[in-house]
Order: sequence, then C-alpha cells, then structure tokens
Amino acid sequence: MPLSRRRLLRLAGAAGVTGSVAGAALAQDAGGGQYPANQPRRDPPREYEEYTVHRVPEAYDSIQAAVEAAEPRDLVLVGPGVYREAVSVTDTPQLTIRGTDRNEVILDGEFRREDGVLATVDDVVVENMTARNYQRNGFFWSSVTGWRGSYLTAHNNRVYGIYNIDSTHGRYDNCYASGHTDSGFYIGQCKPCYARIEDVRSEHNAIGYSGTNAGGYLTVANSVWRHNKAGVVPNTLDSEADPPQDAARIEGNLVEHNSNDDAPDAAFGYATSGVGISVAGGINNEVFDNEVRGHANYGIAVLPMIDDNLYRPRNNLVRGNTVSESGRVDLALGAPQAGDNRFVDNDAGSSRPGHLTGGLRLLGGDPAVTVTLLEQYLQLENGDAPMGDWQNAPEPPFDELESMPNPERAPREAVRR
Amino acid sequence: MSTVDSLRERARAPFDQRHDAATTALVAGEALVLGLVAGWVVTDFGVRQLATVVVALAAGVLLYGRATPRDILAGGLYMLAALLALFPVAYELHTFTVTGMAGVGSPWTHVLTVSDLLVLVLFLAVAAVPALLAFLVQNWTAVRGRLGP
Repeated sequence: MPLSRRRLLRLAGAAGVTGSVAGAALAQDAGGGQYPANQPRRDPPREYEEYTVHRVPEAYDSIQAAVEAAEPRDLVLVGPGVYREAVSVTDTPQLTIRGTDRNEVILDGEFRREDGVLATVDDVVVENMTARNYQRNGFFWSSVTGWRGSYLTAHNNRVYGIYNIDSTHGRYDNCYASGHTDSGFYIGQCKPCYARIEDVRSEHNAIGYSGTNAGGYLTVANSVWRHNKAGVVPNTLDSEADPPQDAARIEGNLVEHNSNDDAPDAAFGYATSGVGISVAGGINNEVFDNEVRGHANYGIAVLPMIDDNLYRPRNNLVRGNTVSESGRVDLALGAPQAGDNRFVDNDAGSSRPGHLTGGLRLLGGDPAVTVTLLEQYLQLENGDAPMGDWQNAPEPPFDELESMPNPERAPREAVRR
Repeated sequence: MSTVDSLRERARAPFDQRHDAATTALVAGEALVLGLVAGWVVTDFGVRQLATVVVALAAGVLLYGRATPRDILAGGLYMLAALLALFPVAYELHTFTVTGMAGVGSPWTHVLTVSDLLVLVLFLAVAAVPALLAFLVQNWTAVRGRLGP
C-alpha cells in the first residue's frame, strides 16, 4: 500500500496543476451509481443458541490455541493479561474472540509481529480488547462476508489500526484507534460494502478514516475524528481493485483539528493534511450534517485524484454541514472536476470557488485547492513532511474507553443480513 | 514643476484621457479580470471581495491612463503576470497565519522545502506567459523588424 500510494500524484508532481488539466484526457469518469451510499442501521445481530466457551488463560495457554480448538459459533473468551502473539483465524467461520476487559486484555506485537488478529473466514467477530505495537495492523479482516469489530482499541501499530479489505456486510462500533502511519480505520475495495462505522474515535493517525475504492451501502457516522493529519478521506487509487471510489455516506460526525504535524505518516496522509473531510477522486458520495472545525487548510474538500489515471470527483453532495475555523477556507472544490458536485445548506463562512457559499459561479473547481494537495504530496515525497514516530505516538485515553457491557453474554452473529 | 505639481499631474492623467468605446470596454474587461484574479490570489486571507473591488478599480484607473490600446493590453497582461507570480507568495504567507492552530508546528517546516520552491517556479512559469505576451504586444514593431520582412 505505501509504495502504491507513493506513486500517487507523481504525474501531477512532475507537471503541476496545468499538467492535471492536460491529463484530463486520461480521466476515468464513466460508470458508478449502481448502489446508494447509505447503509441504514440493521436490527441487532442474533445470538447463537449453541456454542462452547473457550477460556483463556484458564483452559489454553494462548488465544491462538483456543482459536484452533474452537468450532464455528464458539466464543473464545480472553481474561486480563498481555498476550504476546499474533492471532490468525483462517479455518473457523462465525467465531467470536472477546476480551473480558477492553483495557486489560492486551495483544502485544512487541514491534515485530504482523497483525494482532487476522481473519480470513466469514463472520468472525472480535470484541473488547486492545492490540498494540504490531508491524502491520491491530485488527484485520480480509476477503470475508460478515465481519464485526466492537469495543476494540488499536494503538501504535505500524500501518493501520482496524483494517478491512475486499469484504462485505460488517460493522465497526465503539472502537478507538491511534498512532498509525496510515489510517486508524480503513475499509477498502468493496462495492457494495454493506458496512457501517459508527461511534468510533480516531486520533493521532496519518488519516482518521480511509476508504479506498470503498462504497455502496457504506456509512461512516456519529464518530469523532480528531488530531490526525487528515480526518475522513474516502479516496480512489488504482492500486486497489475497482476504482473509482463510489457512494459512501459520511454523516453526523465530529471532525476537528486534523492538522497534526506530530502524527505518524508513511503513505499519503500528509497530502491531505489540514483537511477535515476530503473526497479524493470519489463519485456519488454524501457528506451530511457533520460538525467540522479547526483545520489548517480546508474543512471539507472535494478533490481530483491522480494515480495511474486521473479521477475527477463527480456528483458528490455536501449538505447540512457546519464548518468553521478553517485556515484557508471552509468548503473547497478542486479542479479539474467532472461536474454535479453540490454544496447545499452548509453553515460555512468561506469557500474556493466562491459560489460554494453563495457567491457568483465563475469556476467549476478551483486549481488553488489542488495546489495544496500537490504541494503537500511533493513535500511528503521529498521527505520534507513533518511527522511523528508511530512507536511513540500518544497512548489512548484508556479511562475514557468503555468496555462492552456483560462480556460473558452469548456470542452473536457479525451483522444481521 | 514642483513635486506636488508632478504628482497632481500624474493623478489627473487617467481622467484627462478620452478613449473610444472599444478601448474603454477593453479597460473595463481587463480591470474586471484583474480584480477577479486578485480576489482569487488572496481568498485564503478572507479578503476576496475587497481585493476584487480595489484591484479592479485601481487597474481600471491605471490602464485608462495609458495612451493606446496596445499599451492598455500590455499593461493588463503585465499586471496579470504579477498577480500570478504573487499567488505562491500569498499561499506560503498564509501558512504563518495558522501556526497557532492545534497540531500545527513551525511554519518554516511547511515553507522552506523543495516542494514550495517547485510551486513557486511553476507559478513563475505560468506568469511568464502573459508577461511574454505583454512584451510582444508592447514591442511588436521592433520584434517584427528583427524577425525580418
């Protein structure tokens, strides 16, 4: 991922803004619109009626040993302790791995193991624990149908906190992620996703939420994204399947102070640093009713993205947001763009171009906005971007992170579908 | 002529000019474009409308005071080049206005980098286009003479 993302905007870096306009010949504007953006709330997941509880450390020396002994629908219930292991779930679908105390059940990668929990089979649920100090991801689902992470804390892992790729039908809720060189929360390469992120908090990462080529029934809602380099970034890249990013809803979030020079970064977080919500090369997205404040560059920006191809944003709707205290302007639409990007009923004081906040429409998109992306990307590419060390990023505010109620309760399916 | 008289003379010069309708329209068009570009350059400072009005009026007065349509066109193009060259300066200057924001470190780490230099060079290159056009417009006779019959 980082290597692919480093290719991002290389063309533009060489040719500048004028090059991006010339590159419009490569624009990939066709398609999209097959699925709506919003994934509504579903009924609560159903409890499994027959299951076995595998207790760690009482009955097993390690979580991995309990996982290997378990059958589908079983519960691996982990007691307090520091577990120095990397857990893989590759044979047992419908498994639940749950800690008895979110802040006391700790998976520790000791800066050398890859992932805290890796799940490659369907309907694996991970709940109520912490993963730290892994070389890759805290919690990771790959190519599955059915997934859920609840009451999880991921901090100081090298790449992503809570990560999911090529998967459908799932949810992150009541989770926290901090100190990652890519994003705290990630959903990638799904169309449609049938997924929700809600009631999570993401801080001190390169990016709070990143969703590469992820859309269709995908909602990011009621969450807090703060003190990252960049806040919420649905984006298009050629390095993952099925671009462009198409149809996500970003709704009801608090997005603030994402201009953090001290946050770690290894991919392209700094390119969109100082922006609360960036729709980067995406189409058919809905950015509704968010509170966005205190960003050094832009509150909400809709931007073109250049990877192997140029992706111009199209048909994105930014509505009902309250945007304030932005360094440059509150609302921004970069050039080139492919049209039908609408900014409606937002409470914002300034914009580029001016018509987004009610001025005269003279430009479709503003090249000055794209210059910001280019300048910061080049700075990152040249190794000049300010950044912190992921291993030393601030620890989470553990006393504010609640454990799940009743961890002894029966395991449940990932999501109702 | 005293200094005061000289300044008075210069200030009155634009209003002593009488151009035909086409030339007046050229002045108005250039002034409008320059005002809008100036507004675009300083949008990040929150003074877009003010800059648009002030620069359009000032440019209009200065251009109207020029003697010929050729001088007016060249003057407008030179002003456009200057505004485009100012964009990266304004862009970087803005960095100093956000240093107090949460998480934002030293402005120098954002300003004194190779990429900032590249942006400056890029806009100087873009600004060179209207500057070159202005030069050609203003010196067309001499240029054509050098190019031969």
